[in-house]
Amino acid sequence: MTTATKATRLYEIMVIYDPADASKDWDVLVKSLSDRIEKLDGSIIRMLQWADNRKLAYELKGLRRGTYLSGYFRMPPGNLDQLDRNLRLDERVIRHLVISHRRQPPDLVIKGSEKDPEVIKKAAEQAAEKAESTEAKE
Amino acid sequence: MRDGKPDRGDRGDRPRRRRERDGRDREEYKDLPDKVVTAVAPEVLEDVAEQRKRTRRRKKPRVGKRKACRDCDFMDFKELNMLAKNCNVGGKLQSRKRNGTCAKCQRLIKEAVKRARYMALMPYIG
Repeated sequence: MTTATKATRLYEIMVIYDPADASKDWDVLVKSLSDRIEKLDGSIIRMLQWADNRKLAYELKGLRRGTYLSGYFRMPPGNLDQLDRNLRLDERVIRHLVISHRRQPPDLVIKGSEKDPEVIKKAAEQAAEKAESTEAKE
Repeated sequence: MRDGKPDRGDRGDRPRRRRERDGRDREEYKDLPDKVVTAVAPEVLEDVAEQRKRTRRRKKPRVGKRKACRDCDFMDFKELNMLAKNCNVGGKLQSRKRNGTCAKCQRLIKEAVKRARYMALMPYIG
């Protein structure tokens, strides 16, 4: 697994939980998800509650409302299948979505976590480049 | 002539001619012509036509004007306001012509809308 741990990719994750579960023990849910990612050689960049008790566009598993978790992490691409399987088997997870990002998403740059210095460094470089290019244009 | 149908000539009290309907067959209107014609100089008519053409041309909406693309490389499926702007009221993604987006943006928006639908942030359209 040495090669896999070296080559990581940036992923975005979004999970819908039952609001009843989320209000009771949100921290437990976040921790279990973070542990799962870290077990598969992933590193958490950010995990936060995106929306609380939001009305769903359609019914999911008999629920009309859901609490959304949104997060970013880095992980070797080979381990993503295992994570997907784990989340599908978890009964507390109503629905989940994992997206791979080739580029730094803007919302991550703005609220960049301090956990990943590499991300912050990259964001700063990008911001500097952008500023330079806009100055040059003006 | 079928039975029960009145004869064409027999219309009872209904007025037969236009002049009768308009009341033009009354004594005081008897000298009026059937059609009232107002004379307009041909130059004036041309002027009016040209003016109409000009105003019509000015009112014609611009086709193919693009919205300035904010970011052609990344569309976030969590930005629901942005997605709603490119969809109709029912949540159906609109055409590029209507949205005024560039081809690349439209593809990214398409992807974002599908992700938002999967996460129950937007409705599926049947």
